[in-house]
Amino acid sequence: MKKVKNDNKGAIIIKVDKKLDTYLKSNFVKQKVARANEILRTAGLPKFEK
Amino acid sequence: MNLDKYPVVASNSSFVYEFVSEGKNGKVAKIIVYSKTHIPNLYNLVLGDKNLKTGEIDDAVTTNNGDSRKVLATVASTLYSFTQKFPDVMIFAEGSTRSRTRLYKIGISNHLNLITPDFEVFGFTLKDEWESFNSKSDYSAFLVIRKKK
Repeated sequence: MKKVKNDNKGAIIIKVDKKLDTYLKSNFVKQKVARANEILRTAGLPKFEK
Repeated sequence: MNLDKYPVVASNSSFVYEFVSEGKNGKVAKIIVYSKTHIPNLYNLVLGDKNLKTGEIDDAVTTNNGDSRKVLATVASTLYSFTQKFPDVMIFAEGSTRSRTRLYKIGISNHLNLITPDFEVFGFTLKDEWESFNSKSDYSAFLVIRKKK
């Protein structure tokens, strides 16, 4: 696993709400993922730095 | 990137975040979702408004709340948190409209010097090819990956 620097650039998290995870199963998100998959199937991935 | 940003509520999994945009049109609840794609470790980033009647996300709404910089900085802050927790992931993002994708591009361009020390950024060109992000190019989608330190 990569190591990344821990800094204060991250989100200001004031609370954790387990109900928010229900959005992962929403039709809206599924449609967006389907669209992303469609693009990624044809486009593949960029060439990353080694 | 230490820009003015909204505080967020995070989900248990750290895949979903909610925050409230406050601007000239009042308060608007917004949802950010990082969801798995068919490519391992590649997540799709979605940003939309929360419909307060249905609870569903709607990205077709144009809020015009006058705080797009702060909203984008908040999205970026969750990107930092998400990739802090899951350092090996890649994030794909496409705007719901061309104008929104253009807004994302402007946001990236304006803060590229702050972003590039931490992330590799790619744009998906109108010729359907990936290239390293270039402020002068037009893109239909973006992909970022956290750099190793």
